[in-house]
Amino acid sequence: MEYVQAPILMSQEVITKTYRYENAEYAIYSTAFMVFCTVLGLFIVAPMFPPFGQASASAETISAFYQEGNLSKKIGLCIMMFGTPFIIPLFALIGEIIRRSMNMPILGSVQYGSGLFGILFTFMMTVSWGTAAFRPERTPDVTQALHDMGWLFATWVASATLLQAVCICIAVFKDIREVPVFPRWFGYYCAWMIVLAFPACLINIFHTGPFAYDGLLGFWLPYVALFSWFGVSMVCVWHAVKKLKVA
Amino acid sequence: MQHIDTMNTERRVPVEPDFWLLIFGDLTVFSVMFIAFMLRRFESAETHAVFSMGAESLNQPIGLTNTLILLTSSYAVVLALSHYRSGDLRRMIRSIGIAIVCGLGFVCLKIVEYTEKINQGITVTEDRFFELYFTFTGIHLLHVVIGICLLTTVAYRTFVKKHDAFSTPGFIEGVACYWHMIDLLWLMLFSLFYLLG
Repeated sequence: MEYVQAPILMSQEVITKTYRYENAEYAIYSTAFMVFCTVLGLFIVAPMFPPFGQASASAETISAFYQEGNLSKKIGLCIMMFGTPFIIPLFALIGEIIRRSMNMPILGSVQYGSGLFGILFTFMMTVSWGTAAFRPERTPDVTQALHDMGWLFATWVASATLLQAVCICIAVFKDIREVPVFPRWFGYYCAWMIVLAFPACLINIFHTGPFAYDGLLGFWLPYVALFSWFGVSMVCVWHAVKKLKVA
Repeated sequence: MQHIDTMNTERRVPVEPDFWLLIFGDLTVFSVMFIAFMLRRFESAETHAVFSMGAESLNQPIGLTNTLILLTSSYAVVLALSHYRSGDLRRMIRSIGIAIVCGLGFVCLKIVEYTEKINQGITVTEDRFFELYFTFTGIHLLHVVIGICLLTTVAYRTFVKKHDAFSTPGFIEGVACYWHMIDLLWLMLFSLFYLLG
């Protein structure tokens, strides 16, 4: 199907419904690939997640953590690095749905922009840990600093995710047509994700306790929220695309 | 007699069922925080002593005043909702105004309390009690600030009679429920930090 720039007088709706979401499913497959790479790289090959007791551990412990299974850490981080950008299609698709089909251009752009900003954080996390794993025999203090920096990047992605989720949330709530594109519970789910992820922003203050980066509110709740959000948004976008195609 | 449901007395879920997902989520976070608090408090005799000393050093009158202020504001929100349902928008705005003033009073008293502690040299890294005190009440304070913003939005939209997704009965009910949740959470925080001596 050739892509035709819509004549000004032609109804925007017609273009939207017929051509715009051709092959949009590939965005979902791409996100699934990203999640696969993250799980394979970070959880299985290089078990960086979950960080049991690392926030209060000594520099020597962290250094030993990088020395054992060093090659598998490098390979795992490589897989993670390769998989990270594959979530961009999902953000672009959500942005396009909000911009055209829901007719809220600025919210769509801000959503897309903050999504890209968040990917930068995730990428920097991989880079920090990759640098830490690159020369494991160096002074333990440096390795520990790089490891901590990686965790700050990993968790402070909340700053970008927060804005992104707020945009989706507002877009869903402002869509008060008869048949909304996204179900309303998706908006509330985004708000819930913000609530769960927010306490994690305090990880730079604490070494122990629930707010440290290996604690309940610093790691477990926000990451469960984030990964379930990937799944939920994939399902919601899938249904939205199907709805927009037949409409 | 003809039945007119202006008072919304029919049995139904307030706002919409999906909304309670958010309230449930927020309460989950706070429940986890309360469980973490209790676990740390009763970890050993030493932590128990630290927590008891911390609770005694808090400014109890300010805590109690804050509780009363939030309860008053919750009542004002209830009044505002009943005025809204009976169509008396002027009184509704006035009631929301009272709730907003109460909320601002809460924020001011909390700032006074924090400044008092910081002037005594007690900050978030002082000991395990104050670590949790500052973070939990800080997160709650953020909820209060968000709640004040939402109440202001509702009052303003009603005042200028602007009709969109943020001036529907559902949104106004949602804001009211959120404000009651803040009140409920403060009651829990107050009893955990100030009373459990």
